[in-house]
Amino acid sequence: MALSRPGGRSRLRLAALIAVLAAVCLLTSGCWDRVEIQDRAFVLAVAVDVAEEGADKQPDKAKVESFVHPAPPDRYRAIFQVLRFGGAKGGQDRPGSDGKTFLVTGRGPTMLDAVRDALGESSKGLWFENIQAIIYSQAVVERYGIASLVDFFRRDGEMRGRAQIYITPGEAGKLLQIAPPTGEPGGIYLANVARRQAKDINLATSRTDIGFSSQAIDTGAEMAIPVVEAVGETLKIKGAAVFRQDKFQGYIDEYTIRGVRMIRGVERSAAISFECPDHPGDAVTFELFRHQTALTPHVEGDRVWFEISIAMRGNIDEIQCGHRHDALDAEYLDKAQKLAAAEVERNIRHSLAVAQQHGWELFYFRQTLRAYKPGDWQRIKDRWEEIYPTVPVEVKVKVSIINVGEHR
Amino acid sequence: MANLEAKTRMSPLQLAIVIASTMVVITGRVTEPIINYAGHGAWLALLAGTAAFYGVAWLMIKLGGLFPDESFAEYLPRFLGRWLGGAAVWLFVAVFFLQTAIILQGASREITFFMFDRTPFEVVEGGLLLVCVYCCLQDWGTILRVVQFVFFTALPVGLFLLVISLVGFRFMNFLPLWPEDATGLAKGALHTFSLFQGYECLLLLLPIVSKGGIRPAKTVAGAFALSGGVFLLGIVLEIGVLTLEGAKNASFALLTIVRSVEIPGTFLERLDTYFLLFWVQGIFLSVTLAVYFMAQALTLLYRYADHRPFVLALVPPLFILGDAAHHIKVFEGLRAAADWAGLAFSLVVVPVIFALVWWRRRRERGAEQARGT
Repeated sequence: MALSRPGGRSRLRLAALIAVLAAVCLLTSGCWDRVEIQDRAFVLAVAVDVAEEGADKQPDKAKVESFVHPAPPDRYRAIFQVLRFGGAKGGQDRPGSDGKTFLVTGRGPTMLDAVRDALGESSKGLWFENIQAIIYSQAVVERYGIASLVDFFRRDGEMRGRAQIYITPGEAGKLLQIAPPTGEPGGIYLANVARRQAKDINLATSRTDIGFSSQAIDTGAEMAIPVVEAVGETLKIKGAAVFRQDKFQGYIDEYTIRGVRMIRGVERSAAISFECPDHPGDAVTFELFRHQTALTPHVEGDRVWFEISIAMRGNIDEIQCGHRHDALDAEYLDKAQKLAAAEVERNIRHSLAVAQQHGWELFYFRQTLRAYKPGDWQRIKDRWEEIYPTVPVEVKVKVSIINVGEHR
Repeated sequence: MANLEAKTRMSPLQLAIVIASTMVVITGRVTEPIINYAGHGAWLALLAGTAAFYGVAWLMIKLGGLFPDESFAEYLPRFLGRWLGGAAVWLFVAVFFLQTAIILQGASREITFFMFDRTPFEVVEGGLLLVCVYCCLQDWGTILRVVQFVFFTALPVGLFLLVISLVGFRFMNFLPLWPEDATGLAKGALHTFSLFQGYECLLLLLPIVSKGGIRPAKTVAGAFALSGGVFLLGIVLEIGVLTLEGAKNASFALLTIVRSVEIPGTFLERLDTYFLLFWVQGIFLSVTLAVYFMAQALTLLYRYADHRPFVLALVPPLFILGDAAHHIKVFEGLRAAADWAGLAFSLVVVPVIFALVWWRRRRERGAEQARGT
């Protein structure tokens, strides 16, 4: 009999094991409160405005968007951009629908209330596991502060820490109605543009997502949250909104952001343009590939000062007057290196001046002091607010051009 | 059917795996008191705690060496008397009981929050307990094989995910390295006990560890080094990624860190689910071993042949206490009670028993020598 042969029993056991594993696969292909993927409304982006936004123009719509909340009063109008699955038909002519996504809106005294209100116009539960971007209007952050707006997104178990935050000067909800030129859903587009910060030093999207914003709120650090603006059908990330102690302070431009990122040492690439000394009006561009940035605090008695030391390496990427130069000429390269370094220093000094003038501590000075001079920090931390605006900063920049491209 | 008559042995290396398995689980907020007290010196508090509790483990091994073929549940009633010895064994059981109730509640809280937020705690807790109890009802040889299997399959995955999470580490968050408050450091070191709890099982397992070859003191040191290393990585990540303030505020700090790692465009876009899978297996090991140790201690104390009735007897109170701790105040109270009971056992009961045994043996040797002369 086959089963009595040597090895027969082990084969039987193996077969039983395979059968059990197959059964386990059948039973564990979903959790017990499983919801099929097409039955979920995946939220890709959220735009948050003040509750009364749009209510004067479309009072009937505003009434429909909200359930009745006697108290506390509604604070937020939240517009959720939801992914539309391929097979789903209809609703394409709905405002804000670009074929790939559609919008649902809710109002409430808290974000979760707004989510629950929005469920009144969605046949599927809103699902935030894949949220990519959150846009706040200037009006809502001015009124309620960034901490109360971030709270829901850092507390709820469904959220992802890497969701990117944006501020917009106008109505946030309108931005979600713009179809990106790439054909991507708006939320994914905004998240992917944020990732371009690795190539573009002008973008303030480095370390500004929910996770990092939560840390900044916990530590009381200033934040520079990227701004997204709409011009016609174009969405552009441009500049940053500064927050101090949770409160909106104002905006900084891209040139200031460049300097801030250089001091923080969080840039990964940069195009640094300077004027050709021999041909005024013609620009030369140095492309940064690598850098080493050190921010060193110095404390001597009551005197505090910082030293920023930056060593940059990269290529000459473009010379507007290139046909009149030999880019490989040692004297020319030496001159170009010094001019690029001077431009970096000018940029840094500009950002320092802007931030110190307003008292915005955007450079990790406080954290650096606490980390590297803990004893001194304990002594001066109560006076830091008055020390910071006049704290001297020594800037040392060295640029090394390692290549000039395919043409001399 | 398990052969409960068979004499069970284990190697010193297997002992180390069991010790590490009882320890390598961090439930939410368990590192919070360490970070709260020691601040940036939490890493130092952890190292001090590792050394201190290994010191206690070393004492336990020495104590076991004085009673080579007996567990503490057998020699204590004889040595300290029925009531005092029994009370020490019951304190051992109480330490495991309280910690297991906390692990059950903490784990079910975390699992429901991240995976099944509509599911009552009781369902998850009951399910977890059921699986662990089923494993506990086997003989020690089977339990040991399960422990080894899960240890070698789950731990590398967990470590891999933690190492990946280092991408978010910022050295500046972790500085300054040296704490300014020595008292806070000492309190932090004491609170590392919650991480190491479980190593008390040495008192129970030493008699079945094979003699010869590598000494248990060395393998147990390895277990402490491994567990201490994992905990150190956890604390370094918590402060270095989340900042000190962020680590204090995070309810589930390690999971928050793993969640913050994203690999865009791949099927492994979010790693937290994989971390949960590893972590649940760690919980399974801790609870299974704890229930077995409690049952086995009582079996030996009351001279029963089979640990299984005690396993079944422990299930209802464990479930009830674990579930009762769903209120955060009760949970915190239970955690404090478990810590103090465990510290009392490790830092008072064990050293006192060791000192008593050592002193009595010395006196007996002295008396023998006096008689000989």
